[in-house]
Amino acid sequence: MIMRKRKILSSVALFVCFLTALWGIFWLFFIIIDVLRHGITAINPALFLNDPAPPGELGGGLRNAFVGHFLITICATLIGVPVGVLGGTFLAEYGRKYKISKIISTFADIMVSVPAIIVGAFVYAILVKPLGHFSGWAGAVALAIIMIPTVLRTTENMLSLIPWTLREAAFALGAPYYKVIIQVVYRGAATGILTGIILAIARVTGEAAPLLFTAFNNTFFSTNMNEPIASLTVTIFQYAMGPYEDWHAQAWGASLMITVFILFATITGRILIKRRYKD
Amino acid sequence: MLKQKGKFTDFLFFSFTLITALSIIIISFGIFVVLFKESLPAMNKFGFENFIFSTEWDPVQESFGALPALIGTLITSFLALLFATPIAIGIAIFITEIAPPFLKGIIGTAIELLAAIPSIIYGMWGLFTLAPIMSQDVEPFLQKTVGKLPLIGKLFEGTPLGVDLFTASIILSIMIIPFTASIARDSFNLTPSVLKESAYAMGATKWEVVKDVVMPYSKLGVLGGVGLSLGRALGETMAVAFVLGNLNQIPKSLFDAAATVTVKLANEFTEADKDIYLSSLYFLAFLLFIMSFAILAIAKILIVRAEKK
Amino acid sequence: MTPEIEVRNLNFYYSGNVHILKNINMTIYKNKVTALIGPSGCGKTTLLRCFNRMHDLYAGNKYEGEIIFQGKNILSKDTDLIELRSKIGMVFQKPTPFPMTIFENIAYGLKLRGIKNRKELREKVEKALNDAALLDEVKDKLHTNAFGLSGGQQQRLCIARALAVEPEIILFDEPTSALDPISTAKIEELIISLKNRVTIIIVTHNMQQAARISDWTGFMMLGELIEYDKTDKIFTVPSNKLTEEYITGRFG
Repeated sequence: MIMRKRKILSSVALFVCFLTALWGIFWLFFIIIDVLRHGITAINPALFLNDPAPPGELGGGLRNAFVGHFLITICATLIGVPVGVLGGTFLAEYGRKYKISKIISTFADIMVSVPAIIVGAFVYAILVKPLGHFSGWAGAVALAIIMIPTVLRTTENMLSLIPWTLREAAFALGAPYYKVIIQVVYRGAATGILTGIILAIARVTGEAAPLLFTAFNNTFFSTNMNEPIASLTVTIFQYAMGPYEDWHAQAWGASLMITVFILFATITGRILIKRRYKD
Repeated sequence: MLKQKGKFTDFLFFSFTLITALSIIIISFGIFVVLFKESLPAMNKFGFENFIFSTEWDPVQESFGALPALIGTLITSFLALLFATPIAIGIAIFITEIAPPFLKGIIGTAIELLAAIPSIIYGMWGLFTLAPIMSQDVEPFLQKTVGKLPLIGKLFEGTPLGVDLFTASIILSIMIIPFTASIARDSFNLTPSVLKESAYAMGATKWEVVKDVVMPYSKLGVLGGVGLSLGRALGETMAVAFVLGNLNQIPKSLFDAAATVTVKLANEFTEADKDIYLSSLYFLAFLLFIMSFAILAIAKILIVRAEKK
Repeated sequence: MTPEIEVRNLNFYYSGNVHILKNINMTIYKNKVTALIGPSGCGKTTLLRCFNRMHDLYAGNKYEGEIIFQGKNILSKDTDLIELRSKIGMVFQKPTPFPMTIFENIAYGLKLRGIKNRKELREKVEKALNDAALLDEVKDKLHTNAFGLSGGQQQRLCIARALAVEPEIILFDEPTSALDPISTAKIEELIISLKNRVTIIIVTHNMQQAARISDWTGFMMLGELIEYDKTDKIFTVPSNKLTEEYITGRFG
């Protein structure tokens, strides 16, 4: 009798675990479909071609926000990726014998999850307050600070996967270490590092908090990174909190664009990794 | 000549990589120092302890205190953890022990997509879709049922507007599921098959093997995953900013509006017209940085210990 | 000599239809130690794991033929695996203490069967530890973590754990290959002493061990049971040429 009870308990418990998986999937689909549903009605040429209209007037768009967001993200990538990749290279290649590498690695892991708004407050204090104005560069720096730990750790991990014997073979041919790294190791780990970069870009694309007091926002079209510049995420925040239905619709449109981009980038990244490291 | 040039370039490359690696330490300490420096005026004016326990937040009178924001942060995070942890562990068990091979990858990816959705999207969805459902259906229902019970019922008092602690915690809980789930899954996978086979060989059911062997073996790792989720929850801004209301009071019911450190920062940073106002906000940021850094550090240590086995 | 298990025309396939065991026929005798020997990859562990249906844990494996135990074919689909495994226990190559105290480890199988009475549990745990020649060494630290024991002690713990539920048969899968010579000797002694209580089937890659402790020996090669006979016959006058070559070390 007790054996039947145990078997029933097992089936029930495992079924409950199945339900938790359904719970997770349910919310994923609910949110994505909801964003799709609300956002698709707002997708029209005006959204991309027009700049914001005065509050209350219809017909505005988010051209300045799309362009601004693009600019900030590119600049952040140009700053953050080289620092992250080179830093990860140090940890994987030269750093093995130094104790400090462990510390750097651990700090990087912690910094990956540190609150994004704290980074914004930090950059405000060093790049906005002293200069007296918001700027696109401050926003880019804030996003770069968020990218660096992520890119550094994935680069370190991917480089560590390359077997040491490959490096030895290159040394045996008389190559200096930096050439070994650039021409042999980087080449072998390229897919993995690239994926790390793609995922880091996907992550910062969706960030709003670090831009709130660095790049701030701009209701006009501008490509001047020395001034406040518009971004999609901050605009979504302001529009969603605002009173106008039209603003809400545009916020959904921008949300849809961001979500599609991020999901696409994330899935691409995962597929790249799976293909390259099939074992 | 060629060899010397190679050596110099080697040294240059080495230096570059070293400096960039050190940037992590520089940035971490930089944040600590800068936040501390900016908070000094407020720290000096209000005193460390006083500030933490004060419930004042009056920009006009220039009197500020951290308690409601800190309590809001802690309550939302712990509630979110309460909802998310059992679910995340269930998902990890499903992926490692129950799902057939083709399903493992799909469910795993789906959970990672949940983590990839940016916080601001959770906020939008929370404000426009979930909050109305909460205020029209779920919260009145809870008030009519659980709200009638003694003691626990007090948690469900107040007008169910949907923009409150409860909704914010639910959204937060969905956001942090993937962190615990993926680390728990990795920990469960580290359990040696021989150990599981030993339990099966004694006639244990699958659930008994999970409960008595896999989970105790993975204790440290799962705890690390929970710590990571907590660290993330503490620092979440946008998802919560849309649906919490930023009301500077200590909430007495799940259906009250409240404030967290992050939401306060998001809403008031650019409005702070006086230096002491800004400094108080920096003080809050400093406290949050210390809290989340500490929790994330503990979580990281636990995870490293778990993998060392 | 009472037969306990009858193996009839047993064939086994790993997932992907890989034919591993070919037409095995043998009788396992009650209260005797039966050893399975042979070169690496001959299928002896695969055969052992058929007796308690361990292969069922992994998808795609297929049994053909019959293994008759207590009047029933345990390979049939409607065999209750949990009940089967309470009658046929297993000790593995590496010691596998559960992440619990020594007491809880031994009591695990008993608690699964619903025994809750503290006194009864303690009596059975102590008896099992005694039968496994471990009681004296651990009786003061029953409630400490099992990981604190040495390798040899951990393996005796696993044996005690298997004994506690009073099975008919215990399967041993190379139980001493991860242990030092002194622990190995202790366990070999233990196995010999246990056969009055339990029927034992042991897989070993160490021929001398088989010669030392077993009553019956089966020599396997490439999935076939080449010869199966009383141990002293196998090791002195084997009937099959291959057996003779293996015994004399012509190949390993």
